[in-house]
Amino acid sequence: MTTVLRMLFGRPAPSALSPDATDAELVARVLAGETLAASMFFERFAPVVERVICKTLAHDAEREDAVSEVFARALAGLSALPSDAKVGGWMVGVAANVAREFRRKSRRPQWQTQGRDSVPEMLASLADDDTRFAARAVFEVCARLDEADSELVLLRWFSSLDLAELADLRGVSLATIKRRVSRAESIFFEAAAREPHLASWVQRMNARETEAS
Amino acid sequence: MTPRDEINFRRAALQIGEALPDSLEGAEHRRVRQRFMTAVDARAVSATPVGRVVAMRAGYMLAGVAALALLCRTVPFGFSHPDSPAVAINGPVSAPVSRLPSAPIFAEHRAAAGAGRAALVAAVQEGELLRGASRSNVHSADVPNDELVFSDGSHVVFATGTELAVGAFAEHGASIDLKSGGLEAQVVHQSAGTAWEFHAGPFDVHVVGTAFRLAWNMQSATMQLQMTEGVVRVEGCGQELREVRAPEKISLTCLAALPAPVLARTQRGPTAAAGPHANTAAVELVAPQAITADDLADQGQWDEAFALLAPDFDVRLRAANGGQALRMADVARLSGHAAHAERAYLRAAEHAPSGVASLELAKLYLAQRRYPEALQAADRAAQNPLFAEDAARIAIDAALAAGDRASAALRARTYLAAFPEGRHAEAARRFARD
Repeated sequence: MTTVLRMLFGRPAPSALSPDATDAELVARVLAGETLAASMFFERFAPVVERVICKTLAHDAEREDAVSEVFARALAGLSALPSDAKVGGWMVGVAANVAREFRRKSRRPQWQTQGRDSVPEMLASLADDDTRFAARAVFEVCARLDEADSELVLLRWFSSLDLAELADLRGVSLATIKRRVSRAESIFFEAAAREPHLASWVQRMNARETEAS
Repeated sequence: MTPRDEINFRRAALQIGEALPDSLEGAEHRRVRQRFMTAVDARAVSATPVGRVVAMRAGYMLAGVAALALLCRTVPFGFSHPDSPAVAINGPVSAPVSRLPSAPIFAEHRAAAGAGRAALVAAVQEGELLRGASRSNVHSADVPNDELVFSDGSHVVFATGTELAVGAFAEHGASIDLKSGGLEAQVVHQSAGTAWEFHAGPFDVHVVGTAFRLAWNMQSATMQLQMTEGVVRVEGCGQELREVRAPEKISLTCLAALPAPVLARTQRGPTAAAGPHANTAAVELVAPQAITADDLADQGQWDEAFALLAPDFDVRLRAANGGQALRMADVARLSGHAAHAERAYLRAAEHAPSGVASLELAKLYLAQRRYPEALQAADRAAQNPLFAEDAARIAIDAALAAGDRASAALRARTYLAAFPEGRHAEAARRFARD
């Protein structure tokens, strides 16, 4: 019976797959429908995808949907990926695109879209309320900036992508990305300076560090 | 910001970055993984040899049906096009291409099924009586409407129980006979010759390119037309042609079309307009009225509702009572007009200072980082036991956001005293310790 089903539905028999399989090999096997490969693919790239999504989306409820969306798009696009492509970098790019789309949707302040019985909640997972307010303020400042600038700030500061990764992501040279990050940061600082809570929080943080040292 | 501040801020930003979660929670991660594995599985089955064959065959069958439908509508079989010569159905079908009439509009009937639409697609014949949800074996309660999709992109959605027939297809339109029930039409304007007609009892609605809802009630001989876009011309029942423009809504009753017993009752009533003779064609204009912002708001069309209110928003607001002001405020809020929403909530708060308007103002001010005003509004809302808990939480947030940690701690302790098991008690305890 199993043989008949396999003949009908053609599911390839699982074959040995080393944990050290290259990304290209993994992608080929995912495309062939191998469950083991799909599982390995997910576990290999989930950390970087989740990091980009979780660090750049402020709305708690959106993160799971966003990560799901990234993997759905990845599955749809894997077959078009050149065999020598850097899969990790490509996944970061897909995640950054999805995060940007989610942020765009969330630009409308929550009070405009929520029912009466809810109090706006963002970044509720942060245990320290002081940091939560500061982080919320950063996201709010970012929401007022140009999309490309805010994305660079969030990816650089929060997702800890280095300049080379950002350059790959944007398809530009290292020098160009340095210039763009610097410009985006300047714009951010200018906007953040008008945010009293953020400014006072920075002062408190630094005072605390000075005391500690 | 000075360079020194920038350095400080970078360090602070790193702290924020570190504090942010860098992965989903375990359950979320497992759910995403499960979805991905299911997607890979589904993809693998459809990519197998058998899956491909099934998909190809299904594709060929659909293509064949579509081609046949197009052929039936294009080749002059004698029943499809009003201008084509009458040719017996078993007559020659191999007319030279150059002699074929330009492709007339044709329609497909889509019955909703399951979670998606268009599970069943069938070409519609002229004169074929269609009934909403008539194909009950594929109908889903989740999607209560059936749909006619036309080759020019126009579509007609008809409600459950509606009976209609496509009277005739023409080169630039079609005519729809609404026997009973209601439909929603969106007609695509393609050229000056676009000629769509809808018949509802004795009334004719001439359409060029527009969207509207049309209903015909045989029992009361009443036609209702609600324009959502564009303009149509209406005539019938002895009435002259008249234009109806969006967002107008009209209701016309044709006394001549009333069933006899109903007509007799109507004629005895003070509004009878048909005179003593039952056969006299007459129209009773029941209630020509514009769609109100409330109508649109009830349907969740906030942007459209606000567009109606906007031209004289403040005049209306001055005349509004508390409830009306609150309604206007909600429309403004949900359509993204913060300044209008604020004015309307303030007006509503004049009528009920500790009402929901104050709570909404507190949220608005908090979102706009107007912390002192947020505190004041929250304090007013807190007078009302219904809103006290949420108002107290907003006040704590506003005090914290304003950098007044002492006030936040005091407010947190007040909150805990009033709501020791409240929804925000855990957070309040942390603030109270500060």
